[in-house]
Amino acid sequence: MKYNRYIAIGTLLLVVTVAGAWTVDRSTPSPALLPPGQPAVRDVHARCPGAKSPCTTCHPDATSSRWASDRLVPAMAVCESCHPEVKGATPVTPVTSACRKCHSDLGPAGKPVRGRYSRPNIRFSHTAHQQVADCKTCHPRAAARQPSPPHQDVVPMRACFTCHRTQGAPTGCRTCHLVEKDGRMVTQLGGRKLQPPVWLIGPNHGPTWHQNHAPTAGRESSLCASCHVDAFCQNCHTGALRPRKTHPGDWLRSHGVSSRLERPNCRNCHRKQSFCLTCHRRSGVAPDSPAESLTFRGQGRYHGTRTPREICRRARHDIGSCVSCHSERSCTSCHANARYNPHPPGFKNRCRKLASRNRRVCTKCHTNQPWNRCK
Amino acid sequence: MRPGLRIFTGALACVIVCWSPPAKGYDQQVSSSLWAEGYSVLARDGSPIRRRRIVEDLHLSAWNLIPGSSDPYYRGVRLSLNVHLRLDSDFAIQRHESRPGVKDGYVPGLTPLAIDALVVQLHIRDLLDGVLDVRLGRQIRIDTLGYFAFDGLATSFDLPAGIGIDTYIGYEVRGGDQLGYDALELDGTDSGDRHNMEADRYPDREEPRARLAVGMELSFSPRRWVDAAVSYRTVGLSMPLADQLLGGRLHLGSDPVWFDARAVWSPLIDKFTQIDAELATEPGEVVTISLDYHLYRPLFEGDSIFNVFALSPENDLGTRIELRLNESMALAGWGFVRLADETGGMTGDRQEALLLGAGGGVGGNYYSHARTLAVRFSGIEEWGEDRLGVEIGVGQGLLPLQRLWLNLRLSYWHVDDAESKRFSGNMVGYVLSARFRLAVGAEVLGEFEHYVDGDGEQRFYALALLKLDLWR
Repeated sequence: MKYNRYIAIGTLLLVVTVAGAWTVDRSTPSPALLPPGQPAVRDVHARCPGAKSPCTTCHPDATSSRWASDRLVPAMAVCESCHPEVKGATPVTPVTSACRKCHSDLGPAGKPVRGRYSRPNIRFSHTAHQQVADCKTCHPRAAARQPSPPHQDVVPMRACFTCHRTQGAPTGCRTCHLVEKDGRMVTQLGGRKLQPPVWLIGPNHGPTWHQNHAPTAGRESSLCASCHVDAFCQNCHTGALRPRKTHPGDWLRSHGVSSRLERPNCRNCHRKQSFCLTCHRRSGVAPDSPAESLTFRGQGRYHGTRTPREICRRARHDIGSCVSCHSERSCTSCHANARYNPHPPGFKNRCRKLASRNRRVCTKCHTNQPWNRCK
Repeated sequence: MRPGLRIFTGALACVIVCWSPPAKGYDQQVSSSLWAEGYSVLARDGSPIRRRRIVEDLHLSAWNLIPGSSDPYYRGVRLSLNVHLRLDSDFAIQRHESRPGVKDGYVPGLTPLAIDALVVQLHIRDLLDGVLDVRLGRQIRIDTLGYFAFDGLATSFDLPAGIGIDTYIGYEVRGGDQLGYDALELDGTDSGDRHNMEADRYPDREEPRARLAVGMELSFSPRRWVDAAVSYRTVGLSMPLADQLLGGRLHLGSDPVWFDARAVWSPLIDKFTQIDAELATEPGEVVTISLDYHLYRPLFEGDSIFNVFALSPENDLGTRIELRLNESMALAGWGFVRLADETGGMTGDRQEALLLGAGGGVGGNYYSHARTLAVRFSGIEEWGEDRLGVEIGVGQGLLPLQRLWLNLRLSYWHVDDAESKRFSGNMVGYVLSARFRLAVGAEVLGEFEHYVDGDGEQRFYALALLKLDLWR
């Protein structure tokens, strides 16, 4: 009961945070791909409701444009064809009411601000797309004469991807995104980082990604390769350096209990009978270490006062930890006789099938072709 | 400096200095990470075991080998060559520790200088009008069955209607081979070099045998919201098999709900080795809520007796909540319970499923181009042992374009080790690091770690890293 107040406050904060984040407009492309700029005329398409001409009337170069960086904003001369009252106006001529009709944004000196159009960080060819789509397909707000954020009147990636997929066009990342010389996508743009969209592969690259990326990596390894080189994965999974996220704190001291807790699983990156056993033999922890005694800094045996039965019960659950110190000989010394049967119940009904795949394992404890006794 | 390291360092310098201008059209890349680390651990007799390592990761790549393929609108065949070498040297390993017969103290597998070739592959992409990819050489494969490293040939067909067919054949990369490494090998037997070793010394240790592997994966993804695959791999084409896996995966996902499942069956033990299932929802791309189940049963190589022991799998049932506040900030919480099913034991008694343990944590990240903050609290308890702690990390970029980056990580951990009380107790510590960008493609990192436990014992760790990424 005494925690009800804190639970209520926490729930309220969560609801407010989620609601606030939910209001973020996600219908426009990432500003990393289309950096916002400063247009010379704000919301020009909404300001010209009377223009019934095709888009190419003001943007004649669009049909021949092959690069997203092409400047397709019309020059002043194009506007003068419909607005003769501003003919001859330049940045140095006095500003009139005719100028202010379109140039609503004025600078400190009372002059219309110059248009600043950032270079898009994508690859796009209008020439290739005009054969399968018209302007309003990708620029719906302009076609509908609606206001739009500067340089942001394009459909989000999901629309592009869906159209590419249904039309049989390439859907690889490098089709549209900037790539490095090695073919990987450029992911760091303007201080922002690009990540795969959730609608494409599901939740990804969250705070716990290092713990739960395995299913996505196994399914989408080719997609991962769009951004990551092989070495990125190998740095952890075959690496020689200790990543701090999975080896926190004083790891040398606490790795014993961490390896038994198997969270994360050491075998994702280490072969215990090579990586672990070598150091354990060197430091005298393993039973077949070179040194004479089995005492551990005067503290007695590593397993303390545990009985063999207690140790083996734990081994049944966590034998992966045992192999970091013990070889098979540690187990065969007791289990190679009939007194301590290490097999699970019902093993005799399955051993023939298992022996058909590998009989060498049987001969380590049994003699005289034991698979003949299997059912 | 030892002769082998001297030769390698000289060769590396020659490659970098004499890297010739490229022939017309293709791009060359040399990436190098050179790091040195030093720390000490105490052996059971109280004597210090020092580690003084120098590790060099060298990547040599040639991209866009086909003329014209570097053009952004190029749609033809792409050809690249990738080499990843690693040299791992520990100067503190004594001669008698790495060579049998010198005197007592020999540890098999301990070598002061190891050279591994992790990847040496020729990659041909978009053959047959984009349908076929081919990789030839030493490579690492990641699929439904996990990681696998081999020397051989892999083909990948990307067919219409979302059908994919992957096949591969080659020899498994093994640690005992020249230029081989064992990180992706299965555990099970003590395998490695027995050169000059007496027969009665470490009798379990065997020379590794070459093992031919064959595998395939058939995938089907007719729509964006569904993906399914079946996979098969066998290591060893005839009895005795070293490894054999049969697996499948299913992905069903349409914003905002996704379902992932994966199962891997091993005919060597006639049981599932892994089952993973996750149901996740992400409404509005703000909150992620997931429920997951994981079953894990350790699998060993075919010769190992551990495969035929009575083993209990791990069954974890968990949940995860992530909250993306904005592009820079995220919060997360996770938790799980671990169930176990005792399989009879020595007396044959069968017990009911037990709740063996539980764990969880909360954390948060903040990233900007000039500053980072990460807080993480986690804990796990099982079989009377536990590990719980908190870590706080802050990072600050300094100088124009954050050329200098400083990091401080503070941590407190409590460990209760049931096997050895020597390692139980509280420990606090910090990691201080500085990274400086010398130039485009060149940076240097220095790191210092210091921990103190409840008994007043202290541990130190130092690391220096030089990274180079050169393009021509």
